[in-house]
Amino acid sequence: MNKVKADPNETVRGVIHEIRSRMGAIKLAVTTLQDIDPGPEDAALLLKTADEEATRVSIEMSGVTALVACMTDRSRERAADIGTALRRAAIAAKRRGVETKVSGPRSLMVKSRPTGLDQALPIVLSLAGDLDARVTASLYKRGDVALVRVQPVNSGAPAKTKLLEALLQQVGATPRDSSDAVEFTFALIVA
Amino acid sequence: MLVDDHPSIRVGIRPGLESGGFAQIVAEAGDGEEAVRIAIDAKPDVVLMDLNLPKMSGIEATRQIIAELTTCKVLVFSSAADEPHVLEAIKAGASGYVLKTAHPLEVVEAVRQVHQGQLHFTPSLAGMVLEELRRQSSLKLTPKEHALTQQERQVLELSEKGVSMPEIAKKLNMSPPRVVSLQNSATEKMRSASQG
Repeated sequence: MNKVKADPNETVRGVIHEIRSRMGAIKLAVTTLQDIDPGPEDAALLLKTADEEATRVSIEMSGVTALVACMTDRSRERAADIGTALRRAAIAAKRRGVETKVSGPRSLMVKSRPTGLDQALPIVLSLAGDLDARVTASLYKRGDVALVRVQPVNSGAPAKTKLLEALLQQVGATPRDSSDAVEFTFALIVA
Repeated sequence: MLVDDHPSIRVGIRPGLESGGFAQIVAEAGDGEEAVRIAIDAKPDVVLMDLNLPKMSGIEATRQIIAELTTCKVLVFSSAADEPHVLEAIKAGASGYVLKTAHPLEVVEAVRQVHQGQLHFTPSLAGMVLEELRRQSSLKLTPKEHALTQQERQVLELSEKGVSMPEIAKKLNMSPPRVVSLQNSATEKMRSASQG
């Protein structure tokens, strides 16, 4: 299957827009609390919003670093073990405070960029979990593709952000529509 | 009506607009298609519209809402400050453009003015808008020929230099709402001239 290569400028613009919107929401909440008397219920909601958005910005800034590393990585797609990479990513995500339970084959060879996978997957797990500190990552073999499904344990559907899309695209993954999880596939390499 | 794909922006702007009973938020939408569908049903007086939306851009949603609801005013509320976005919004029929970095009280004032049939542009964008209106005018009129008042000209000159609204107010020793009002009257005069 031929994939359309995203315009890198467009990708970066989309990611920046998202981060800027979050910063805008924080500023809006703070100035409203400071200069407008919003009432106790709204004040509590604004504080919660500012706190959540600050957490998301922090995760996304790490994601931007990973995205830049992937975008400047000149290596070609080749065989990569997604089973091992997912487990490595779970360990890295744990350092960021996201507990990930990985299930599925321990080893499955797919077409990807191994260095990019190590950069991108821990962030993908954090982004998929959003503010939830626990996610499950399930790996399946489906026909000629490997399917990865990342789902928050406690919260609802994860947000599909531009950054998430961009990171997946950089490692040769194809996002799939899902109402309750982040799903993506890789082309399998059959020995 | 609030249109933004980030719920946190909608949460943040609501208290300012609803404070003192100034406005009532009758509907919210998170993408362009939803915005058009809900607006037609809710018939809001003013739509506060983000531009970078999923499914349908804010520009296209603005165009469709104005075509369907002739009395509805659209005020763009975006983080994009670049010329193409601002000019496209004007061409789509938006009555104003406020940056997401604006103070909530400026947003409230902008909604009030747009609701009253006036135009409102964040001061740092006003110069760009006026330049475009000038370009559209084949007469290439100068501010003097538009019969701008001295205060309007002073505000205009500082806006064109990119001076922020609070700084203009400080420099000219006037209140921020007065700066906004002068800027709008100047914009309106320029627009009338470019159309005439």
